[in-house]
Amino acid sequence: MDISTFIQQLINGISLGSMYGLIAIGYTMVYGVLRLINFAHGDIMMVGAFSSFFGMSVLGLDIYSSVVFAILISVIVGVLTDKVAYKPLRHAPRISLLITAIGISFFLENLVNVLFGGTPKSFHAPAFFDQTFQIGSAIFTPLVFIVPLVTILLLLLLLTLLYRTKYGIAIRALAFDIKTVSLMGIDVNKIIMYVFIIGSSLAAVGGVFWAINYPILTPYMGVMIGLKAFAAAVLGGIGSVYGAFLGGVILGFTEVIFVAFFPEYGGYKDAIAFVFLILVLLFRPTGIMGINFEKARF
Amino acid sequence: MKKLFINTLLATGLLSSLNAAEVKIGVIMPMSGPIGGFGQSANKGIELAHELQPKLNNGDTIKVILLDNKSDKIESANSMQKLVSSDNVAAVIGALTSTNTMAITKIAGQNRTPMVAPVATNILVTKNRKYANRVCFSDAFQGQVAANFIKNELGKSKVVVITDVKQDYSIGISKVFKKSFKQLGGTVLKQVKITSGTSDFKAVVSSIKSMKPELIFFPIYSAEAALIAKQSKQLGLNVPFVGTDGMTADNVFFETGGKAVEGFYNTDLYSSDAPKTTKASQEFTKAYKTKYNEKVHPFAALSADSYNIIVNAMNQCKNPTDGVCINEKIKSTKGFEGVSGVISIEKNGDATRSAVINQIQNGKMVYKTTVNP
Repeated sequence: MDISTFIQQLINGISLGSMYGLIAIGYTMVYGVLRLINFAHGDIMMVGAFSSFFGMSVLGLDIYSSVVFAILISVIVGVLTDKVAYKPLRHAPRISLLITAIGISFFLENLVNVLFGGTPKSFHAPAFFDQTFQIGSAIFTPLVFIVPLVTILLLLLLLTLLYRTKYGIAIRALAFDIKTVSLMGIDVNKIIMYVFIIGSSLAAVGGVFWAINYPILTPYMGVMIGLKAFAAAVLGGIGSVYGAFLGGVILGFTEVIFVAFFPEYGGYKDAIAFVFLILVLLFRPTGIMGINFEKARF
Repeated sequence: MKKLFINTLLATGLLSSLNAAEVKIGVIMPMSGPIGGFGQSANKGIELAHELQPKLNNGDTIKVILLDNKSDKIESANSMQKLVSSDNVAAVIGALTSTNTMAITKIAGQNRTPMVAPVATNILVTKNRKYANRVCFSDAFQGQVAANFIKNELGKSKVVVITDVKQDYSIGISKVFKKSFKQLGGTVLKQVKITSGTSDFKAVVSSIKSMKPELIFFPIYSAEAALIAKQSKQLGLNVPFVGTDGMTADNVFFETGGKAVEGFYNTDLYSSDAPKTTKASQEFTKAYKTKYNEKVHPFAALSADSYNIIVNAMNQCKNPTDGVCINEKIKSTKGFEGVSGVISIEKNGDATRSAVINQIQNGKMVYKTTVNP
């Protein structure tokens, strides 16, 4: 493989990895607070993508207001799933919560299937995103820059929120010990709601990016992406926000580099992503950021 | 009881005047669900074929019973069970596509009810199934047609093949294509594998670009084909692409592909723009235009032919409800002048027929040429 192809592949990896990272942050935050692997999170991303599609094709919004619309709908769906499905199970065994999350995932997929039909939908992004720039022999689309930039910006914003505001302190405290925090007069359910709002908005942004980059939407698109993002969160050290981002980027690179070297096995890139995850966990069971689950989170 | 009744009628010579006898043909189509659009197009063809030929030569009325399989294989099997056990149909058309058809072929064999599939191209559809027939070619033929077209018509000899390892359809065609293309003296630089359901093909496209192929052959379905086309254009991979009938089956290919799919070729079963070589196709096209005011959909033409071939077989049987006889006659169809071209059906139930090659121009499929077997 020559050097220009290699650079091209690195660029492909960064934009793919940033999208995984964006979705992985939502997994990691909900896990940090509730110790729940929210399997419906990938579907919240799908809801975001479909909302944006609906906003543009039916309501006639432009791409920017459709992002706002997508965030709005995803937040509503995310918060509703918490209120309806997870909140009544706060004191139930964790396994019940996990099964509920899988149920919600199926519910959302089928709901969208009924509302929009099962045939793949074509997402029409503005022509701006189809332009290409050439630097050397590597070719870029605007999204290659926009996705990592926006992701890092959102990550910084989130870190500021977590470490510089009272709400952030409350969220981090919740990750330590829910009971003690509630004894100190903090409305736990409200803080958990904020966590879902943050996670769902990031998922919605990820969903719209995904739709622009790969403009075919299906109700089941969230399943594999969700699993990958979950793997990214675990890889980075679940519970850690920048770990999730880092895990996403690493996973994106692994996939792309694998396909770059062995295109004839490209069909098995999903399997490779997970094999890589297993290998990392064998040597670092707590993920790359190495956070001790019982001590610190975020 | 019914037979007795018919016999009585025959004996009294009343049949021709009363038309009391009725032959039933069952139709199983995906009228709703993910491929509901396919089924609706196909059924238009059957309805029209039935209108044009509502009776057998002996005067019996043909009744068509339509069941919706909801694009699902289990529903297909249930529908088939219902058709053979409670409706007592003499023959069945369905269930359109490969996976759903394979769910009903066994029941057809157990009940000795012959069936004809309009567009189930998978190699396995008719394998070891005595009562399964089809009016389309199998995927093996499509692979040969594509290899011939690329080597001889387009004159390209270095190609990359993209295979979807999740779809039997894609694996089957790729296998035959690779073999035929090598025999013709071409080189397959690499067989690149993808899985349907994923959407990021940038890494794949970048690697293909570095192999510098003259052409890419990708026997895959619409969604992935459109995404690959789009990402190829973004990454500056500007070589001709050749696909198969699965590429254009769903309109999402044109909607998403847009300008990126201009100039792509595909092999297909039928094109409404191909010269009308048979009388049946001329008449059908005219009637279709009057009834629906649109171009004949390939699935409609092939479904109409499924109907016509069954009726043709029934006409040759003494008892038009005898499944064993109908099946035999279907399998001995030779040079049948159908709506979609000249069709012969082999002993194994597969059709020998011509294929067409289209090119995409201005977002539409434009007929290029017809390839005979």
